[in-house]
Amino acid sequence: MDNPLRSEAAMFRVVVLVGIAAVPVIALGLVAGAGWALAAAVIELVVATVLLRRRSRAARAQSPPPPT
Amino acid sequence: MESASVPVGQTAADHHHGPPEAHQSSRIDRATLGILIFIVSEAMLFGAFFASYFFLRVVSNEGPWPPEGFELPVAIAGVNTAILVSSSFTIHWALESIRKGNRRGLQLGLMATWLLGAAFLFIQLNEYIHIGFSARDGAFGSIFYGLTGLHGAHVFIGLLLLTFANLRAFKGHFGPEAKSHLGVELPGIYWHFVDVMWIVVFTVVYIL
Repeated sequence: MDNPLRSEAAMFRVVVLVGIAAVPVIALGLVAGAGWALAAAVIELVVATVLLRRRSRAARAQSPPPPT
Repeated sequence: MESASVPVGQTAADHHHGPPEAHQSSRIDRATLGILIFIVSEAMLFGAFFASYFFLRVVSNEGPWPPEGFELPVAIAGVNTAILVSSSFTIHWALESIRKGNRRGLQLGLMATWLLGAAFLFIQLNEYIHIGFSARDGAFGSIFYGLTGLHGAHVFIGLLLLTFANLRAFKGHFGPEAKSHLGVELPGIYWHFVDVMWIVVFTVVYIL
């Protein structure tokens, strides 16, 4: 998996992703209350963690073995 | 008087002054590695403040949060969030411009980013003036000013970095090659980090 801090373009993608993820949390917080917003934030965090884990495992499987 | 000429058998490139070149990985540039380590340490600093926030809110607080008598200007902070997030787009545009050799786009993008960042800081300071409580008003006041102030300090540092980048851009210092615009790339990474942290601060402090 690429390091998101390696380049500005990669970090910009992080800003966009976090911004998009924050929209439903903020909207729910304003419309339905903090409890619903918290639930949405927790669900998003769990989904993000699972996706990141899967992606990093896939990238590790594809990377060449270290030199012996 | 010492002669400045290159000794016989050596080229000008061999005649190296100062300490030897620092060892570096071939996979990551030293300056980029430096900003990476710096940002990781900054993330830990914010993490410590968030830990304090949640401790005060969840463990040591009884009753509503924010406590009665404290009201946060969510709408103004929301507009401020939009301003700061926009500045990420402008700095990205600036970098994309210089990657394509468009110096005018770089200058305009950097200038817009600086103005948006300054507007954010100005609105936040104005919010502090009119918010109606201070950092001395209980745990909520302390952690509110602690978290938002910590972030504001980062915006201020980012503005300083952007000031230098702007000055250099208007002097014609940057070019399309990756190595020749590191002076914008690294402040850009830092600026995006500051934006991400604000989205988290805004969501946690003003919304949740």
